[in-house]
Amino acid sequence: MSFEDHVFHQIVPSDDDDATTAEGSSHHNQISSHHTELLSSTKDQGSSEVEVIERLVKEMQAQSPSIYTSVKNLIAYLVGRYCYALSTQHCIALQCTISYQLTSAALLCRKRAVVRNLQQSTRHHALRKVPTPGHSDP
Amino acid sequence: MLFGKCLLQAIQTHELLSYDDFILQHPQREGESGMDRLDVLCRYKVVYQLHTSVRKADGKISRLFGRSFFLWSQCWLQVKASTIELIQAMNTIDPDEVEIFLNVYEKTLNDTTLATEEEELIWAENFSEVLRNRQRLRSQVVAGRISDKAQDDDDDHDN
Repeated sequence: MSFEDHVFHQIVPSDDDDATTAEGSSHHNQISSHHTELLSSTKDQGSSEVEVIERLVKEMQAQSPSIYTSVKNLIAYLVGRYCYALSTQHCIALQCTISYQLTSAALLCRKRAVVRNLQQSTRHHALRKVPTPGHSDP
Repeated sequence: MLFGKCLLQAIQTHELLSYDDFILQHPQREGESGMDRLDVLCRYKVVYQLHTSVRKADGKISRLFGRSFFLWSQCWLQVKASTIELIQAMNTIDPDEVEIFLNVYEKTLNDTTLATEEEELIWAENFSEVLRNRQRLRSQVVAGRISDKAQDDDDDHDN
């Protein structure tokens, strides 16, 4: 059992997984009624609170991947935009600076590869025979 | 990488308000229904309890929670401020860069019903897969345009 499983297992019994992943309006109404029950109860909150938490934890988990993943994705997204800007020669200075700060050594290698491709492409175009006006290119 | 590290650090060290303090600092809004208010309070209780459990077990908040952590605890602005402080303490980064990084992230938190380009990628469970899908979609759009253009050219030629 991973650490994540362990932490959530304390609140969410694993054998209840399938029963708590239902979606749709009926599920939402069920949650809302439990909210009311939980919040109106002042003495015995034990079982109802655990039940509400089980369902809401599932709802929370279903909504999105981890924050860590999203931050990692954001960095990849910004670096991707930087590489695209570089490859299309439409660099925006500020964006480049941000991406530079974000870029790890591995990504710098990727950036260099883009530059190299760009240079090769430029050289290729420079070496091409320029067509004479009025004559078709053979 | 630095921005990401500081943001994650700010999330790990952020202390959630107690339930009573949360109620005081986030009063029921004008026009907010009673049921909606109960939902907000109940969700805060849940996120608070989970946050406490994870802390006790020395877990990482950023690994175990998703976007709901910010939405249910309503703590994004405090986390954002802490992140800015952490980054600026290093004295090497332009504040505008920090703002841009955090604003892109914030935009994906505020309106989860609005599927922006950033939201789709930043909250992707499989980043590469989303990229591939987008590439496939773009290819289809391009193929459609080429087909439409060819059709238009044929029509012009016939006329």
